[in-house]
Amino acid sequence: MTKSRIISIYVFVVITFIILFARYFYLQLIDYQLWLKQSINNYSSTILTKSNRGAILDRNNVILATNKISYVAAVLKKDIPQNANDVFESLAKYINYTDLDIKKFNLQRKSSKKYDWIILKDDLSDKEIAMLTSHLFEFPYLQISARTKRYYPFKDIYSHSIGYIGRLSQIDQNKLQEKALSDFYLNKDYIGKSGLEQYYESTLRGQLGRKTIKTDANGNELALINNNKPQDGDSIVLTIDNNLQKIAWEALGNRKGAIVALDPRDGGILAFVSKPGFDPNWFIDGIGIDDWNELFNDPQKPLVNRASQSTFPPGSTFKPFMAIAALVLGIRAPNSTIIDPGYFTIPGSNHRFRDSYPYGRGLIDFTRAIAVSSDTFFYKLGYDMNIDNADYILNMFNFGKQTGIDLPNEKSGVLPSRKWKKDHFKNDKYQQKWHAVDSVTFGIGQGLNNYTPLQMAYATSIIANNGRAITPHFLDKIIDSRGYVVESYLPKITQLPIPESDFVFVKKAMQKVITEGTGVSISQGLKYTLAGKTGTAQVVSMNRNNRKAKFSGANYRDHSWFIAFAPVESPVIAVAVFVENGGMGAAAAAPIARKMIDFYILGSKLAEENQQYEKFTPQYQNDESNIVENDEEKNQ
Amino acid sequence: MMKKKINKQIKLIRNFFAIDKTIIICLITLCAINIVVQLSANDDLIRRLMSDIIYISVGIIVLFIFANLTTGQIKHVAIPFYVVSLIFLVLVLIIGVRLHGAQRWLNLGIRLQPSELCKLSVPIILAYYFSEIKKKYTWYNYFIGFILILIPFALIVKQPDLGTGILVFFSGFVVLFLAELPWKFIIIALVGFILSTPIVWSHLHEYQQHRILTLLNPQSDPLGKGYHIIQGMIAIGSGGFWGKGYMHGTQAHLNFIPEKHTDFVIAILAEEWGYIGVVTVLTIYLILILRSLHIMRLTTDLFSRLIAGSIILSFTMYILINMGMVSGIFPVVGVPLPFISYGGTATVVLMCGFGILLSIAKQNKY
Repeated sequence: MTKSRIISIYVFVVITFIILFARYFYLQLIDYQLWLKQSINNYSSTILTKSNRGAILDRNNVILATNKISYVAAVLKKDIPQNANDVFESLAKYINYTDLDIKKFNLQRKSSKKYDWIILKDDLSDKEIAMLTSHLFEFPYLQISARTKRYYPFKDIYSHSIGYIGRLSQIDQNKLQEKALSDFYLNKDYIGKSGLEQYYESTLRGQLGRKTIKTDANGNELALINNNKPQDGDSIVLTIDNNLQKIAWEALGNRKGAIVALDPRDGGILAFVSKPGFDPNWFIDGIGIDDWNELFNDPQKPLVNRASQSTFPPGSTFKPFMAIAALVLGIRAPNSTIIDPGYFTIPGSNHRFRDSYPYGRGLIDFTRAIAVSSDTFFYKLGYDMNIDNADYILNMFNFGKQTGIDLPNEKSGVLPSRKWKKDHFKNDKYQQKWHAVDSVTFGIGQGLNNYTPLQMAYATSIIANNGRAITPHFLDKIIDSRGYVVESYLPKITQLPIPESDFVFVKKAMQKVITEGTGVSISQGLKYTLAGKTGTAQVVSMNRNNRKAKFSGANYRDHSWFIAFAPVESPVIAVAVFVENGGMGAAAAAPIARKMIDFYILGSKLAEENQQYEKFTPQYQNDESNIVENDEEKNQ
Repeated sequence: MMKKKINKQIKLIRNFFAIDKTIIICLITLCAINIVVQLSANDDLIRRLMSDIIYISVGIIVLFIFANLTTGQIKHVAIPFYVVSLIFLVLVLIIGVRLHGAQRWLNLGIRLQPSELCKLSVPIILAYYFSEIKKKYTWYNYFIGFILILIPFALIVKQPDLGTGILVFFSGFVVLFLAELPWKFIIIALVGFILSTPIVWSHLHEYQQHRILTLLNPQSDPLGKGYHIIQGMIAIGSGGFWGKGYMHGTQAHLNFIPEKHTDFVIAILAEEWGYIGVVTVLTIYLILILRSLHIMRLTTDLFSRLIAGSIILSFTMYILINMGMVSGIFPVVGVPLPFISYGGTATVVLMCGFGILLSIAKQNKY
């Protein structure tokens, strides 16, 4: 045996031991944390339990959004028979289903995985449950189970304020991941998609229950590691008055429009209507692409939130605010007068800005100009006013900026200014500059002015309050599942630096609108003092006579506006009513406001109706009675 | 007279136990570790633990018996031992016991795994063959040597038991290597091996192909083919430096580790005793190997040298393959960890091997 062979043996032994020492060093010391985590994951598995979402209530505890127990017939995706239509046909003997159910079924089927439950039919009636369970042997794959489902009892009335929840989308999941909130949701959980459901998501959702158990390799439960019970979401109580909301909704009839009523004393929203709406119950489990397209392409645009996400020219309802600006800036005195020939011309120009009252009113003072809505007076006022100064004052009334209400995606509207024109008209050299014409149309709330009905209601409440601005809000308080108040909303108050006398003047003038001005038609039998202002906003400029024919459809009729507050001495309600293409403000919008304020101040038989709606009753935590949806998730 | 007689007897007995202390201490320590680890690995399977202890006891008795044989006696049994193990291998294929899809065991009152016997009979016959040739070896001698290896190898692979087959082949090949098998033969064999890989691959059983594929990327199929490897690695890695504590291994006691008392026993040891435990065991192995190499170098007898070299290198190879396999650097082949895996024929055969080494050590002295 030569030396080289013996050396080879030693080399082999040394290499072997170096490999093994190094390999185990690497696994046990360098990658230790990684393997330790995997070994813990191996034997612990977490079962997540859903929490109950908080309810949404009106100021009298009427339930506006809640969880309902719904019995569903469901099937695992992998168990769906080849011919799914046959299943429906044989099921028809026992349950009623609609095309919508089949549509929903196919929709879920497309977007789910092998072991997901797919709902054949939800909201089973007692009779259907009885029939199905006694014939269950025919459908061995079928499972009937109870689950909680979000329910909006008032359907479309609150579609734009309360909004709706829906299944987590990929986009939602990405957002949650960014904010490190994924732990609050199950795999196919629901999340607030719009409105208050979205805004108060973190309050309403509650906390998932987390039960961690120790298991062996075969998944047998060996021991409980820890058990965090689900925490129900808190409920929110709104300042909304359901009865007032219903009256506003019904008063609009089948017209399109928006109504916002708020309490000037605390900024609480009393009614918030955008019509037409949609039934938010449809959206909970997702609606089909066909239904979505139908809603989306509906010429009535039911998906558009007209109250806080759409802006419109305010028309003459803008005049009281112009009047205050003029008084503050000293452009007009309370006793100013002009001679009204029925039109206004810019000095050195021939163009006549016509008054809606074409005959001319002769000598007219400031108060009367507001009461009868004299365009000539406000044309001249706009012309005389420096736009920069006017913007400074009007900005205080929140024109052109968000009110800060507790709703997502609020529009800020347009308060025209030199800067706005410069930024907005990038390619139009002429429009980039501020012209005298702009000031003139600005004076009567036409031209570039664009505000949401919410902004108009808010601005009205500021006048009603003599300059005390209280940010509008839906939330009154947050209560827990046992009914205890967790948090009360604190109003955000600012006082505008405007003399009270200016408000008193304008308020008197607005009262005259009702008693002897454009709003006189709603003054009959009035049992309290009411101040308001009508508005008729042009959709297209009718001055261009040649285009008249082209724009003469219903969609080009003027918008009807009415803002009001009452009682004048100590206002308790401020309203902005907007009727899209409603025509004259006095004719369409004003009667609606009168109806609402009548009800709110005088009360009515409807108060008794209060009894018939389901009221929120505090639940005392009782595990047996809580029906929760389980979702098992094994940590990988 | 009487006194003389008694003295002679005492001397005989003393002689019987007068063997290399380093090796015997290492072996006893390993057996003790075996019992400690098996106690944890078998949970409460008392019966299996008892039979483990019986195997170890038998092994130690065999160790002492072999330690007192002379090289001549071993040479005498070389041919019969080889023939008997071949007959057993053929019998296994005919009347063997089937377990886990392979026919590896013979039921002769006790369950016997004849392929284990070959780990000893093959190197002995080769060492005998080469020590008996007094002139310079020719290619013909090496050819005969290869034939002697390939017959049992083929029979074992047929069972199928590729792992043991390779080890048997290796134990024989080591003898050829120490008998100055020319480097060019080795290189030609190596090239031939690499070239024949695709052909061998196509003849491998599907589960063997899977194991090799899984080894290359165990994470690709964590619940299927890669499960064993990953669970073993988790157990080892999560043990850390100090280990999780005796009887506190979660991987072991919650049944995440497959075959935890046999092939994957190092995973349990590493999990419960940490890197400290692994280093201890490896150190004992290393001392055992170095001491044995020392014994080999001291002997002048060619047969003894060849057989000792084969025993030592095979032993090193078992450790490398088993610990490499469990820690994910080799494919999963059924190779137990010497002395620490659950005892059985393998332990007894290993004891025989070290018995032969001890007898060589003893003869060096005189």
